[in-house]
Amino acid sequence: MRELNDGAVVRAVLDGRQDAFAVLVHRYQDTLYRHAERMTGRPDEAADIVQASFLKGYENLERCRDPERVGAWLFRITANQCKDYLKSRRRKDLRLESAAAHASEREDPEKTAERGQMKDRIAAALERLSADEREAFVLKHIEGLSYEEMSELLDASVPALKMRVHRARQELQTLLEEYR
Amino acid sequence: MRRELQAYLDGEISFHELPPELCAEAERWDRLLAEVREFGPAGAPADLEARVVRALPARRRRPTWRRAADWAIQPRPLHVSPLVGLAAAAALALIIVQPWRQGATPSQPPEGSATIYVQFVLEAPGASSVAVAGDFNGWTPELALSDPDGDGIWMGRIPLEPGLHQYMFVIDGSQWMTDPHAQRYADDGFGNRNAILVVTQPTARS
Repeated sequence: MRELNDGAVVRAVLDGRQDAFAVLVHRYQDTLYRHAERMTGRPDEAADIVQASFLKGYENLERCRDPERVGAWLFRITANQCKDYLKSRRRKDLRLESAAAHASEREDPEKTAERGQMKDRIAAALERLSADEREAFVLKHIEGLSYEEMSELLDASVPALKMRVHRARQELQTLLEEYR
Repeated sequence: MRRELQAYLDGEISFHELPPELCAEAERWDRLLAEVREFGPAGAPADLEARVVRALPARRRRPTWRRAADWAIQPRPLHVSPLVGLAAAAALALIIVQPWRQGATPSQPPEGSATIYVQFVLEAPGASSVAVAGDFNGWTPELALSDPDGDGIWMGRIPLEPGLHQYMFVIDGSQWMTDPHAQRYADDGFGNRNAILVVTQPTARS
């Protein structure tokens, strides 16, 4: 069977074809999940966020103004859910101090380095970034988007996004030591 | 961080445009960012799709009046036959009251040939491109129709083997449209219909 475009799938869902939404899930789950895991650093949380994002999209599908670009619309929902999650996690960490060990590890990058795993260092470094900086950095340097694409996706200006990426790189500067 | 290095990392200037004293640092950034790009998963967990689909609540079908309103306001190119298509806008009213006319009309093949040339016609004012996609070309919208005089009537002759074919029109590369004047249709499984075209080998004239 030929592949329907996104607009036709959205219209089918709106016309009561609930099963057609599975087409959108199949098409976009990898992209959304990759972003969510890179943002949260936690696979289980990322899967929950993506599931919640798809459900939110499904329940509000009538509000998708451009069905042909429903993928970008679902991405925006996921990106917002990720930022909300990071903000609430940060608040929780501050309030409960339950992540004391985790925090002390973050305060001591050398300790992380002792594990010898660059992946862990990258994850720890990304975790230090604010939600906005992290999002901009992930989209720019991991997803490989241009600033113009990011601007459209996040509804933020190109100069503002550049500033977030620059700040993120500044934060990650210490990682460069590994390569000296 | 120097502005030139930021510009390089933003993709605004090439490596060769960097001042020599920044090249080593730029290379270190390249290696770090390559490492960062490998960070993270290749794709979603295998069970995520099933989890999401299971969690979807039943959806209420939109009210009939709402669907009718959407149908009425959605632009719909009108498909006309080749005979009246060339008469352009003046003939449009006539075409509307002759729905039995087809937009895909087989013509006589050259003698001894098994291929039939089928004339496809679609009126799509405002379209930038119109193509035909069907089971005869793997549903890729690459068989382009043309509108040389810019009157919104797109035409093209496409060689087809005798037999039963399903097809749709594709407007501006992404908008799939069912031929409203086909004689037969097949459900595509998502509430839309593919047009069916029967191409027969004309019998030899005595």
